[in-house]
Amino acid sequence: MDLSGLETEQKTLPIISYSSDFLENGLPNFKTQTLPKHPVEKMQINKQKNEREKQYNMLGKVFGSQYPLMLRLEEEIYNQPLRLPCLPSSYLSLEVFRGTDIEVEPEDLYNDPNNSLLIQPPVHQQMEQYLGMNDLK
Amino acid sequence: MQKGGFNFDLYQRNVELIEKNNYKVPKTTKTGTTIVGVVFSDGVVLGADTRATSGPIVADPNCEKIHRISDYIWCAGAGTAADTENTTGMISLQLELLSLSTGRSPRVRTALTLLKNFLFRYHGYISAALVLGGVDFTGPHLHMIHPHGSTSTLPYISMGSGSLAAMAVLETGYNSKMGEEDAKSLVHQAILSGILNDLGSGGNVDLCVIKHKSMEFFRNIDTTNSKRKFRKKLPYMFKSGSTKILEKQIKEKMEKMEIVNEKESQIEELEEL
Repeated sequence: MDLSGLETEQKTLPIISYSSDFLENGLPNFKTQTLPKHPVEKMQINKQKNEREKQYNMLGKVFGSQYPLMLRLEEEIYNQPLRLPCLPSSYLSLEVFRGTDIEVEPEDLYNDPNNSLLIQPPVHQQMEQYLGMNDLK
Repeated sequence: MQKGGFNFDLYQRNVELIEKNNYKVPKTTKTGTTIVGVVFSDGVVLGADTRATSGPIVADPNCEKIHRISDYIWCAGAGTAADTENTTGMISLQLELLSLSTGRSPRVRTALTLLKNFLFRYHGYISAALVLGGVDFTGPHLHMIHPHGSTSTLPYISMGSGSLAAMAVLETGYNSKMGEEDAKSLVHQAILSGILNDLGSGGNVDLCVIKHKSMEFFRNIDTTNSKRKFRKKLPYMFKSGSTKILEKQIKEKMEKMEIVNEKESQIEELEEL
């Protein structure tokens, strides 16, 4: 039985992150981060992460602590985005490393972000927000 | 980055509605089905009714409840129709990828594990109760899967709202040395019992017989319960005088009048002058 998704307590303080464009994104608030999440949503977020941690722990006990360190380093390298912050990266090497390239999840079938009805703000605007060039001084 | 999959955006709104506005949570609509599976000497027989209901209304009187997972692994589904179809479709995809990457023909037990792990992740919110049956290189297998992810392996299974009626028939008629014809007739009787005694089940009987490297699908093998016995032949023709006239009202036809704008007509008159 798969119990790896069940640990769910939020262990960090909520971080306020907002864009200066209040008209578009609303005033900044902590509320949305502290409100409770659906138990199934919590399970989705935690499951894969917990499973990987468990595997690393097991590998460390069997092969020595150096081996999972090497694997974590490799995973960090693959996890780096190679494009601008607002453009999607494919993370193909990460998927191959984790073995999820041959797996099919509901994330692949339903609610494809490419077909989403919300219009993404243009790339220039998102880059300005990222670099903090939004405020008029 | 935006991710696909299930959308939980409305959960916080729902929590607020229930707590602050005393919103009454709508009851889950009970779905009706009778699905049955039986193991016999050479293989497995799956059976299902064909009624899809949406509340008290029959949404589809002849739908297909037996889904393909692999060539010789089939699955009958009870519960929300969208959940059963999409779940079996996804697991069929995963099983195909797995069998291609391992180079081996798929096993029923693999499909069972994939389904069980998938359904457990959603805590029963994906309401798909399944009867999974098939024949692989280890022999015939039959399993039942509940929406929360628990499974059982049994020689005969019934699920859905008509499961009690069907189980009564199965308990009476099952014996472990049945042949193909006996198994088919037992499943047929069990589904008929569900159709006749349960409100949520109805329509025709579908059967699926799976043996080693052979699969036969009998779609609508029995349609006696879906034919309306007392139905007048169309078109309806009524003799004049067959209904009593209670009241007569005759209105005279009015002549068609054109309403002309006063100002426009004055301008026209001036132009003419």
